[in-house]
Amino acid sequence: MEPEATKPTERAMPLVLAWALLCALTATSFGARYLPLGVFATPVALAIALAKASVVLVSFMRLRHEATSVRLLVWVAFGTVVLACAGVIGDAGFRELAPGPQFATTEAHGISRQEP
Amino acid sequence: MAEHFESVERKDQAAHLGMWLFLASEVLLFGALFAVYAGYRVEFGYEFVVASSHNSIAIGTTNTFVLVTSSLFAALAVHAARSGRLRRAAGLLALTIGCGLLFLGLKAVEYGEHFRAGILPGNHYHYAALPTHAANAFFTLYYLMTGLHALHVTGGMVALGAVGYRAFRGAYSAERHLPLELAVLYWHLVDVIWLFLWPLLYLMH
Repeated sequence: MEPEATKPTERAMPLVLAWALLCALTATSFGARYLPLGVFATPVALAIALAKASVVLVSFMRLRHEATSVRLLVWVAFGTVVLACAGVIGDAGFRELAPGPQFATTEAHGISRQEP
Repeated sequence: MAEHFESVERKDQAAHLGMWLFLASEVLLFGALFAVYAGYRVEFGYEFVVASSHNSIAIGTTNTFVLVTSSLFAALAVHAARSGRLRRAAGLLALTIGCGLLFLGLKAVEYGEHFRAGILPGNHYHYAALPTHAANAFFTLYYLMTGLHALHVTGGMVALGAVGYRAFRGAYSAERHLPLELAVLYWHLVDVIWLFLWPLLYLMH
């Protein structure tokens, strides 16, 4: 038999509300796919994903209740990923790419490059 | 309690810090793949969008709702454990694992559709409708990222199963259920990673 609660705890309702917010943001992200956002489509989708990740970290993973060292660790980890992606995007976006042997391998397998 | 910890609370704090360090290393692991994806996306922007449209938005979106709901069940399991309702916590963890199984089942359906169409990773790619180098690169990354994520989902389910079984057997209490909390933390990270995979692999246009 399930024992009675041994101590008063935080209410479960905030967790349910966080889930509802996550579902709403997921629906928003899905709906935004069909909007003519142009070059902003991916940044908007990633911004919504970041908002959802923040909800999970704060509400479900209780990051607010963790030590400062843990919060710093999370910032460093996510910040490193953002820096790595920004570095790669900066390199790929501003580098002149010459068509070269990188396509030879796929062509050998019968796959040809198709221009948009 | 080990002698070098001055209190149980300190020991729990150290365990939490250790778990978060592990989670940070997981973020960096996936971060490397996200960086590779970013580079290819800049180089093959249009072709990546075309390739991503061959993924099932219905399956990807359903899986997002499934994982988000699984995170709610997992968080409620911790809430139940904190109030000493360990059987309830075990039940909620079972629901979380059920969501994980549903996620993997849907992912298997999608993989099956891709396999039949010839959408395979690397040199095995032979999808006639999209015979481009960039599409090959996109789907190779797709398999790398979703495959690695699926492995993490599987590992998370095993961890939740282990702590759920111990909770059901009464091995924990309202005060002492640290393994359950740490396993749930891991599950939430699996959810967080999918929140970024979903728009990048399914929602581009």
